[in-house]
Amino acid sequence: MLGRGLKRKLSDYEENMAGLSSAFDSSRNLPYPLKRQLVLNMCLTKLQTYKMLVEPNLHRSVLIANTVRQIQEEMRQESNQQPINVFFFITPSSHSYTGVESSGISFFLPSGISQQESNCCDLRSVEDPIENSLLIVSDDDMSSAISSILKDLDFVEDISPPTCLVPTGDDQPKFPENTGLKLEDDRQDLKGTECVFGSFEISNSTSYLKDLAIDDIFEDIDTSMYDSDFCCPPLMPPRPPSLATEEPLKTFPSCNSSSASNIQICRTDLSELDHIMEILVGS
Amino acid sequence: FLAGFGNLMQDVLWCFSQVKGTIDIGVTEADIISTVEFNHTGELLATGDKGGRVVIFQREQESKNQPHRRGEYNVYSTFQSHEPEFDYLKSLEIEEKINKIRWLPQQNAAYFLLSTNDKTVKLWKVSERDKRPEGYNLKDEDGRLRDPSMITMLRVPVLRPMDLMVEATPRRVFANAHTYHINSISVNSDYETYMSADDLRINLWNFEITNQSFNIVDIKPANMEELTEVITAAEFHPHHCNTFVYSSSKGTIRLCDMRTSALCDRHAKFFEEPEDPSNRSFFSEIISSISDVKFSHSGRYIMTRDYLTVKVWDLNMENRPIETYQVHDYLRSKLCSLYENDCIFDKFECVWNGSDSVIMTGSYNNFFRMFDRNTKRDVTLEASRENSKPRAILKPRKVCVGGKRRKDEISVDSLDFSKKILHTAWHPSENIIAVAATNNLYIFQDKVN
Repeated sequence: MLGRGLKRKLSDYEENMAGLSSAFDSSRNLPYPLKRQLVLNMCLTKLQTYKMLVEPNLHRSVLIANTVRQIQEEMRQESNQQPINVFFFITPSSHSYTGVESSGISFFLPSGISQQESNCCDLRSVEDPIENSLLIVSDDDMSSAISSILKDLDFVEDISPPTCLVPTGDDQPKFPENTGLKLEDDRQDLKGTECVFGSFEISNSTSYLKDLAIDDIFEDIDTSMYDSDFCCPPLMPPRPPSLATEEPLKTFPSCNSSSASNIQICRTDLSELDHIMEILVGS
Repeated sequence: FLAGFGNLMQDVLWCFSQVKGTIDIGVTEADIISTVEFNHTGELLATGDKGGRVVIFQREQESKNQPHRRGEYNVYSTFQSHEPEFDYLKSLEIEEKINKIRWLPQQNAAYFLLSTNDKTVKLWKVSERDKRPEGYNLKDEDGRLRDPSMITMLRVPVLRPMDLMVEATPRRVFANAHTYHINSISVNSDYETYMSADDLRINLWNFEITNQSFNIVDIKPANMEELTEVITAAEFHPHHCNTFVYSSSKGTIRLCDMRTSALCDRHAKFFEEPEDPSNRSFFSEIISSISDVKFSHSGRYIMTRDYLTVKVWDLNMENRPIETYQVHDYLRSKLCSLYENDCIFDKFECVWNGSDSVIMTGSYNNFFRMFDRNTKRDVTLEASRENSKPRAILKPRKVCVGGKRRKDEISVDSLDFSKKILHTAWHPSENIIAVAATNNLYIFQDKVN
């Protein structure tokens, strides 16, 4: 459902990434900050791709997030030693790295581009295509990006609380603690349930849009600014997202038995939760 | 002489024995083998694939007429263990891929195994039927009911031999206990319980009870934003039913004793090697993630596999492994490329031989490596159709790192990273190994004189 133009950019992007990473591996002369920036960009791109997936891989996400945090910490320590502004940077000129830039825009809110462009003059003057393609991202943006990804993982994954802890005789005194923890889980699950149903609708509408031959209709209109949402799924979807999101739209009334009981469990949990909250609050 | 325990590397020549699977150029994803496991006697060899199927091979009896063909493995049973599921609540497909198979020790004529996908563990009973009852009174041979008024005499049904039929029936389904993806299952030495581990939790099950499980490890933080570590593998001690280990994505192993508390969040032992500062890179943490952990048969050691090495740990020494073996150190200078194409996340398994003297693990280009712990010799072999003549001896392979490439060597840049050997198994008492290469299963044996 993507235009041919976009696909060309994607394969360019992939080739460029492969070129960059082998440059990283083979070149000893690449300065350390540049290597670090390259790795950081790869990490962030991967995390963003995972975010678009219906079910991101928790193991990989955690490893990549840790790598980002590690780089972030290193950069923070460096900036503590010297007063350097870590700022947001976008190359205004378009070349083969457009794909990276678009995804950069959708991921991090560009704030006051024109001001910051004037601060970027050190790197802008460098002609090296590798340096020109790199995005320098602010600390806060990175932290919030990691947090939001991990939070999303929780909402997507842990909807139903784990089936019962069967307390043995020894555990009796511990039981009240477990209840407390379970409430926390439930509260998060509550938010999570809402989130799932919320994103459920949103993803349905985007899949509907993908099905239309948009590019045929709007061929002459430049939609590169808005293409970020469409550019990532083809990179590495484990299965077509449209399949996963269209199916429930058609067949929601006839869930399979396990998920039907999940829904029931959620509903009873919610009403029990209300009841417990009332007791605790003493109203 | 029968090759058995404690053979030194130089005495063992590995030969091709069999290969299972198609030779098609285009591989159907469902046929990709995702787990391989011998049973406790080595008589049966089970494989699971991405399509949710289990295929069990049985070793044929050795015949005196062909002593050089030591028991070949032939298909014994094939069944669909897991089906793809769709969770409508979360809009998620649950893969039918079999992540692990573990055998139970044989206690009667039937065989039992556990198979698991990402969410559900199943206990399967595999049994033979070679007799059937004949001579019912109320129904005829086709099963049609007889008119009772037509029956003039009664007879006792007798069991008559029939063609051997192997049936697999699901005896237990252990579902709805894992929010995250199951990566390991392990049968306890008490043969009454087993554990299943996902990214954040480990549950203990009783084989007889499917609607309850004990949660024995939970590393999920109250705030998911604080999550920095996941569980990657877990296994019970082979003899002590109260002891198990689990490995993490940070390269650590925790040994837990279930007698100390019901929730084993506090470990009894913590195994971690201090980082080597000279090898530090951006990818240090990622390559330290442990992909497999296995107790030795003796129960005295554990072996762990991370991206570049295999390590052997003594249970009595927590601060560093006693042995470290480089599987493919030439990849250390390629980590960024391997990160970019996600190969750095490949999860290789590792296995012990029956006497704990040799360890084996897979690599890329359909290479697999064996390390002799006593002689410190190692060998690289290849699972390929070219080396697949009957009883052909496998030639050791070598990867050349830089400089001049010798005739038989292959350069690092020529390695095929799509051909990865993640799953291998070693017969419990003999030098027979099973190596899964994508959709093909290779069986190699040592040369019999």
